[in-house]
Amino acid sequence: MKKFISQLALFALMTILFIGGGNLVAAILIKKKASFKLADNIDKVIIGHSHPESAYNDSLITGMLNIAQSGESYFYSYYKIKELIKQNANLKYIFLEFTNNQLEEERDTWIWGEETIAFRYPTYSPFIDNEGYQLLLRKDLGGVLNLQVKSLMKNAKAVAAKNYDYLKKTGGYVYLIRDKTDSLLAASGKTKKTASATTKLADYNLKYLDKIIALCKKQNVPLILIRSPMHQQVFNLIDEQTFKQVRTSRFNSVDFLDFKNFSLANHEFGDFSHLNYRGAKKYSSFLNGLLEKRLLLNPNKQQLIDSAINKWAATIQSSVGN
Amino acid sequence: MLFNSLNFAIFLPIVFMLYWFVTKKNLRLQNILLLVASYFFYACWDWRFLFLLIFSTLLDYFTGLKMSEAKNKNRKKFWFWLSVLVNLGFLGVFKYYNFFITSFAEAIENIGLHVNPWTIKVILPVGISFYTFHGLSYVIDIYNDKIKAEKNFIDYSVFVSFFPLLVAGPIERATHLLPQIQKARVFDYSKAIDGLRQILWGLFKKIVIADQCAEYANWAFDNSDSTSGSNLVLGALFFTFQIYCDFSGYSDIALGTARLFGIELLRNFAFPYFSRDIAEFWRRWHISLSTWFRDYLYIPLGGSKGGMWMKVRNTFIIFLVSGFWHGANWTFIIWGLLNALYIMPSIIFKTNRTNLDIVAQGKYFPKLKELLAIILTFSLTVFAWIFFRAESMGQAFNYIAGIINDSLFTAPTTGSALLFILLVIFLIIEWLGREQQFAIARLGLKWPKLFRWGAYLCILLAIFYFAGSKQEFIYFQF
Repeated sequence: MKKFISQLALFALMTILFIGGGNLVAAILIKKKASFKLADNIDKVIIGHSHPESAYNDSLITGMLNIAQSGESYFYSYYKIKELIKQNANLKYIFLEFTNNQLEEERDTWIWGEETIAFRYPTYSPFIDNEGYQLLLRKDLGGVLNLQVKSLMKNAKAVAAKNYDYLKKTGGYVYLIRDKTDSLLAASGKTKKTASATTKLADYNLKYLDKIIALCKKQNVPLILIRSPMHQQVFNLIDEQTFKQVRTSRFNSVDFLDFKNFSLANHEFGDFSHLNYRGAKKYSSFLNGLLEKRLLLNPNKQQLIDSAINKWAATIQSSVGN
Repeated sequence: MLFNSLNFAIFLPIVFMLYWFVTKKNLRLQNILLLVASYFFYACWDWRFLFLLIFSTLLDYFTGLKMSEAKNKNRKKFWFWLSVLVNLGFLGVFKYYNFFITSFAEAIENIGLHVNPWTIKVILPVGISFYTFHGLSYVIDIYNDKIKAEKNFIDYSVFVSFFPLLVAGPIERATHLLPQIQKARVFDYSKAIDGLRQILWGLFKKIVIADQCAEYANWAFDNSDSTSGSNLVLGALFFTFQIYCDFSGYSDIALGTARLFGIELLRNFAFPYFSRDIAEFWRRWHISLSTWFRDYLYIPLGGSKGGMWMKVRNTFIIFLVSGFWHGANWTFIIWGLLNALYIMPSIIFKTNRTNLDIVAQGKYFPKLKELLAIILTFSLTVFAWIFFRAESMGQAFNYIAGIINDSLFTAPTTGSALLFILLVIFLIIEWLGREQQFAIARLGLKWPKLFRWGAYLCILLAIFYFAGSKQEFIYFQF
């Protein structure tokens, strides 16, 4: 029995050393060499989940890089922003998507949920700090342990290939071709959803938004919360009233730009909450126009946005009329 | 609690330590510990059904005692039938009630009448088919005077509920397992190491092969009406590997775990996909169930003693019952029927016992004739698995119709290069280890320790690498 236990312990130790040690070495190397360096002509970034990922065609917005990624929670955005600020003294503005569904309790599972953690943890593991690890281990110990080998493989591969371009690995504009708004509209008539008053807020996701705000404040990098356009028929578990209440009571110290009502045709949406490439083209050009009009220096930003959106809508109306 | 979960990885070492260290090799304490651990293991799935398991155990324990004490044959018969009917009654209610009632309603509707069947929404208790068969074999053996009733309730309960075999077998016999439970167990280093190796290989089969194949098999069956014939063929192939690696992987983990506690369970799989005919396949696939049906159904029905007609009739009966045992769906019955048809030529021409040895024993490669026989047998099983996997007969026929068209000859677009490589590696290891109890039983035993451990580490790394989303074992539903 003694022999069995000692052999087993030795094998377990060897395994832990191999995986743990390998991960540690890979993490140290990556942390040292990972590049979040922006090109010289870039001074703005947009970060968030799938909504901004498909809404901001950064080739049409001067000085902007889209590094949003589908299913990204504020937890992972925090570590990305941390590295961005560290490596880019020229970074002038960080745009961060702030929309209804990021407030839903369900978004917390984007931090440690089985599907998202498997996809995100291996890439972000070298950058996560103690507090982040404590949260992940508390919420999904099994998941984190399971992912150690995946992390090791992924990070060892990156080190071996000297592939340290983390801007590419952690996001980018997605040219969405999908166009199914009309079919969704036809189907939604049959099943009407209603927002539930009991929907809880995403405690952990919002806690990391607080941390992002604090970090940007500390580093003197202006953070701007932004809501990209949504279809009028979009269903949000977090209704407008709750959204407004959370924003004003908790995040009022940060600028908020609301483009929710930016007018687009059905075929310019991929679905109710994502713009396809047609919508992204129009919206990105529109935003670029506003930025060139020095929107960010205007004290009444939302007023300027609303009036521009109204003008835009009127132009569309008249062109349809003609 | 799944074998491929963190919970089990914590549960097993705790029970192991308590078993060998705290109980101080006291047999009674060891058995009590095994029983408590087994009930805890089962309750982790759904504690409410623990009462059903305990009731089933009590029923067979008492009817067994009553049969032993019975002074005349009628009394004995009474207790025997009471146990059989209650056991099958539970199985009938939980597993087959809805099937019978809806099938009856459909049959009535076919003759122009309309009925509203009263179906019940009931969860199928995990392992009910397995522990019911444990209990049944016990009472049948007592009734046939093959064994005496067990007087120690704890020992009997461990026989029914021993956690490695509780939810998906192997289906044990009292004659095999009870004597081991009653005998003092001594820790055996080489057996324990062997057990760990078998657990490792079981996890590899489940997580690395079965779960990866499941992804593509599920996709093929979900999209059978819109994808090409070549993709559907691959989907059926992936399911063929999935079901084997899922179930035999589970059995390997069960056998290996039991071995850690000094208990040998019945072998359940013996490399069935290397079989040269269907009869050999059924001697190598789910052995504990096949032999159960042979001993408790085929032989009591007269077996092969009553001439060819009786042999054919009994073969059809056991295959149909075996299909039905898997689930209340016509697809399983057709799967059973297909296998009965497959085996018929060898029954009629009396060639069903020609391939009793291991294919190409002591050689690296089979003869061409053997290879062709293996491929033919394998193809027949792949075809039958389509019915087993399909959710309805309609889906099964659509799937087959989807295969048989021009798109069969187009390049498949499903699967991944990595999965194909893994399957090839897996098949090579299985082929090389086919003369052993499990594929890696002797792998690297003569290598220097560093290389041997390196091989185990590679298998372990592969398991962790693919251990993304935990998939339940297919046979939990049966």
